[in-house]
Amino acid sequence: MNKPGHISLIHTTAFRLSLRYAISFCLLTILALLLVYRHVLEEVNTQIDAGLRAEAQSFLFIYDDFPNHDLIQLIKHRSTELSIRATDTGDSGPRLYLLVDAEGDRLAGAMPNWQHALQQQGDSTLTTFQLDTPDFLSHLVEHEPTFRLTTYQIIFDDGLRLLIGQALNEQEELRERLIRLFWIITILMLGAGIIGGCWIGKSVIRSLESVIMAAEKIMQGDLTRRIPARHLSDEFAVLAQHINLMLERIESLMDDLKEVTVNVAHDMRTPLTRIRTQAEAAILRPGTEHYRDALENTVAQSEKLVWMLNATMDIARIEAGKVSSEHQTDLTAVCQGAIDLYEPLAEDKQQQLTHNLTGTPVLLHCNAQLMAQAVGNLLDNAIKYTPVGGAITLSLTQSNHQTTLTLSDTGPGIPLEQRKKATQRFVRLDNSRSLPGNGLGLSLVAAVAASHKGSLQFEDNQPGLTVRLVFNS
Amino acid sequence: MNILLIEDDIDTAQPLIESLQQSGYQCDHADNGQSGLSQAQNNDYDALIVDRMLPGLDGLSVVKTLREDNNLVPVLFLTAMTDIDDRVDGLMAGADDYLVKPFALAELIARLTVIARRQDAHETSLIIGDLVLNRLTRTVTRNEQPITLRTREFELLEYLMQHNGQLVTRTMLLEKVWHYHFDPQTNIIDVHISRLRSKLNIDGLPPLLHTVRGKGYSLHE
Repeated sequence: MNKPGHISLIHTTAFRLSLRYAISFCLLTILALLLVYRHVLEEVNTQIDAGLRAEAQSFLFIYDDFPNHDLIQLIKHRSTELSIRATDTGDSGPRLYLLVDAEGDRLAGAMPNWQHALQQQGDSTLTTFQLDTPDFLSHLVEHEPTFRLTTYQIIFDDGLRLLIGQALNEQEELRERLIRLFWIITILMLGAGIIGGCWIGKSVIRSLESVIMAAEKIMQGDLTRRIPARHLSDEFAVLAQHINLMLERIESLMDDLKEVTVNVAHDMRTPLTRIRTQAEAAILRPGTEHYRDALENTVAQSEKLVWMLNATMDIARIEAGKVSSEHQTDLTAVCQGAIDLYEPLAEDKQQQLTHNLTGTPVLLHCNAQLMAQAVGNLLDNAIKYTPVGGAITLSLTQSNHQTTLTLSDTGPGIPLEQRKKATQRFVRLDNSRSLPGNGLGLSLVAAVAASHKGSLQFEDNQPGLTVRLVFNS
Repeated sequence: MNILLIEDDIDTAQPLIESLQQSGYQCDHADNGQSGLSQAQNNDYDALIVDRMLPGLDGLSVVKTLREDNNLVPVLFLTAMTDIDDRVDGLMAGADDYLVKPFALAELIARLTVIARRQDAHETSLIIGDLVLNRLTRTVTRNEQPITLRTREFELLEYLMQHNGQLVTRTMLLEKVWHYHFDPQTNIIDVHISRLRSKLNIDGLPPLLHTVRGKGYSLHE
């Protein structure tokens, strides 16, 4: 790899795949061509043999049916140069003849080194062998010193032997032409494969490089950038879309984080300031009593700070998914426990706290402690914000697919546009800064909902707030 | 009461030892697991306070070793880890209670007292003065007059009576009676206590449920 983000062509999967395909096709093509080759050559041989057989038959015919024939003259005639040239047309090579008597003396025919030929033939009907090239044939076989021919032998009744030979130069030429052709095809295929591979590889690289360059800009700090998907082919467009969604999520998490950090710092300043001002005042005023008060105050304020720290860490841990074990939990018992705990506060404010809990267990696979905390926080909020004499209702329902916990109150509710902010950490909606609290209650509930893959919804209770926690059973 | 503190951070240990001694406890100190273990094995303590993270031999191993040797000395773990699974691990290793840092001194002392003085959980009736709580019949009487309590109020009273004379903190009540391991940051426990108190305070009879300012509650004559 060269400069960061640069991908070399050879290393791309696209190029390698194309090359592999090209090579496979080449091999298959070569196989096919070989089959064709064998078949063609076999066919040519069959043709040659058939041709020789046919001529042999005609000689037998003459011998048998024409008693006045002169075989010798016939052969002599056929063996003149002109005749030989005449047979050398089209797709057969020239024919050569040899006529010998019963004693093995040559009677007629132009077959060169005929004794060798006889020897090679022996007594078989059809053979193939090589002979020295005579001058008048050298131009046909490209001046090779020897040439091949197939011969057919007839042995007549009176011991006469006739050899009819077919030169195989045409066959040789055909073979060479085929092989040349096959080489050309193979090279063309390989070439096409390589060029195709380069082309595909380059277009893949171009797509990826645009993704990589955008990613680099993002890593350098520009979180608002997105990967352009316009010019990309299908799979890359899908990939780019997903990366963009991921980037959006990261951007929003970063924004949340910044906001939370600002809020946390802000909220922690109050107890820290109190510690400091009291301590400094006490230092200025000597006397154990003042010291004592200041130190007691320090303890109280630092407790508050520790609580904030723990709560923030809890929420962060829940959001990060590092939740402790989950079991089948009876939500009825959890809700009953929370109601037991908070009921006195509601009674003190003469609020009516009602619920639909029966003895029937409502089971959900979840973390019991977190659920208890979430329900507790919701109840606490409801009681705190609902005025004296108001009504708070808790209902727990379960169907085949969903378990829903609903808590309604008759307090001031949360206006639509503030609902999203309400679950952020350390946020208190403006009109409630006067009430004691910590701004973490709802964000914990939201974190618990999310970690159990459930949802937290707000609705207008008209008047008041309805909070709904929905989980998949 | 004779206590051993096994804690490696000297800035945490020193003030703690002083506070404990000021509160009337005899307190020894070890600053690592190994020497803490030997001190615990060679001496008779009423309770151990063990920091979970120690150099060398860690707190969990110290306690496990003691329990394997059949040493049943009450142990209170101190830890900076807040995960519930850590709490479970600590209790499974053999500790009697578990306190997360930073903690209030009163909390530490209250829990120490509770684990050091083991209460018998099998008595059918708990009696303090003229207050009688019957576990079997789930009834409470004071001076033989019946008092009606809701389930949770009964359990609250039961716990307080089990630890009569001892300081019981809000956190302890939340954990042991309501089984909640988080701090709701409201005075909810106070409200429950004051309800219980008003039910217990029958005219003419001395008050039994006392508030210890800034720390917790105690039930005694």
